[in-house]
Amino acid sequence: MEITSLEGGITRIRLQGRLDAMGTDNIGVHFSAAAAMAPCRVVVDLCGVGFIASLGMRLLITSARNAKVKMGVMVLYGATDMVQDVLEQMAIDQIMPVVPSEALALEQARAPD
Amino acid sequence: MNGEQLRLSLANRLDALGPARQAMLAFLAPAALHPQVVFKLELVLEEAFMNLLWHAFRDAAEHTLELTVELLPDEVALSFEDDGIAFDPTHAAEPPIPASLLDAPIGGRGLMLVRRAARSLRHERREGRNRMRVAVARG
Repeated sequence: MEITSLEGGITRIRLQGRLDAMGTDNIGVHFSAAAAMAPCRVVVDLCGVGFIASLGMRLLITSARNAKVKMGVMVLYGATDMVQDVLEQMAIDQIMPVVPSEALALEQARAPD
Repeated sequence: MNGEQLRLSLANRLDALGPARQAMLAFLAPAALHPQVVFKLELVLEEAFMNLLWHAFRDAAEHTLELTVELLPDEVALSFEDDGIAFDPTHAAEPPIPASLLDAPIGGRGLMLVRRAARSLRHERREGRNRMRVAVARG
């Protein structure tokens, strides 16, 4: 996991590997802490994520909700086709922004609510 | 319905999941399945196993889960057998689609993922044991 502070107070979290039970357990605390950094405008790069299961989605939803409560936003981007399919099947794209590219993610993260 | 089979006995501990996944992938490798099929099988394995881990047992004792992976001409079937509490996933209700992020349940997606991945899902309770069979289409 790579965490980068970008212009405009945006935090980019770049994930690698598997968001399965073990992978999510390994990154959970650090991911949650990074996503909670003020002002909670977070873009999450899923390009390097080859697998996601329910525990991975739970982590994303929990952090996105925390950001929302603090008037921030979390945007997911760059999901591979198979990860994107799962996100859509579970309607994750209906409750938080899921976009193809980093440029679009940054645009959404900068946009006022 | 005879096909090649892999049978594994797994402890109801999280650290049993990784080796089970690796054994399943090694067993399936010669079949050169489409990556999307393998993805679905990994989802079924993970979600069914975690569901058993969290919900099947009321005591802290170690239990053994029997997993059978069956490679058939048109599908791959994962069968799970456990001595946990009776639970029929074919009759469990799905949570509604949430209207917003703040309304969305944090969890409860595991069984939905299994259903979405599966071509068929069967369950029977016999002699105090749950037997769940999840089949994923090969093509």
